[in-house]
Amino acid sequence: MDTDYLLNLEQQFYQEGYEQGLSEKAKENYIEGKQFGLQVGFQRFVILGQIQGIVEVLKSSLVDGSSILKNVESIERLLADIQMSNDDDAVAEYESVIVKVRNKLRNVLLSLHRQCGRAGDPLTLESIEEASTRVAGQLKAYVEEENEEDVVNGQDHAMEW
Amino acid sequence: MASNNALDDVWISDSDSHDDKLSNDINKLRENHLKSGFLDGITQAKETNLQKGFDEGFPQGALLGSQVGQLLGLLQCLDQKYGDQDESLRQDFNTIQKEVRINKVLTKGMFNEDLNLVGEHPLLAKWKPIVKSHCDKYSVHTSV
Repeated sequence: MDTDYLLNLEQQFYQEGYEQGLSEKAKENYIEGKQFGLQVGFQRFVILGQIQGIVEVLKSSLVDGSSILKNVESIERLLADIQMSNDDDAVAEYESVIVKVRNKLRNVLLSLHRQCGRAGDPLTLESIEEASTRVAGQLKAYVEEENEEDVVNGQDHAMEW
Repeated sequence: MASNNALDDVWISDSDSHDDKLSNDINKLRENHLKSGFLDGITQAKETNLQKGFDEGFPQGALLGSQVGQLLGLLQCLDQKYGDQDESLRQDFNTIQKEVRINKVLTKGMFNEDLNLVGEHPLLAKWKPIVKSHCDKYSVHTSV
């Protein structure tokens, strides 16, 4: 029996085990990843949809050509450009757009409040984010672990469902 | 005869033990390499399949989140403007915040076994017309 034959045999046995390992729990792992992906995707996009809804209401009472309306429309354009994907470019884009959207919305809400000077609770970025957090839960897992691999490995943060 | 048998026995037993030893060694070799291949396979598959699932789940979750968020935002802004005079609007804004929480939207019973939605999510189907009717009342144009 020569060495080549033995090495070949070793390789063959290894490969056989490897194939078995690959198919073991493939479906369970896929489903586990999908649950976590659904969760993180949901958590990341509630606030954006919410701002879209708020912007739609604000638009209904703004005067054509006003500077506030222009700002509101630029928020809408930013929102329309966001990709709902987990690839690196989309995630980086999300991070940069959400900062811009937040800042613009904060200014719009302040201007509106100053303009009407109405009594009562004004709509603030804080009250918007509170409602968002109530619905989406905390984003702890994602904020602490930015890159894709960590997100997947952060399974202990995934909720039960 | 006796010596012949004895001779046969010797040969047979010698050849048996040789084969046994060989097949034992090969079995051991097989077991070891099978095991290490299996472990590597499991590790590799786990990472790949978790990531594959995550990447497919993420956009679906994002779409659901943004749809739910839009309904929430519409009611929140309407409530802030008109809720003091509109009891049913205020009530719906309070209720929606409880009903569309992440753990109520992402519930296995609302998805099929591959975690895909079959048709529209029941909570969206319930809330869209409610939110729309509030929007209509205050002439708010929405993409919902």
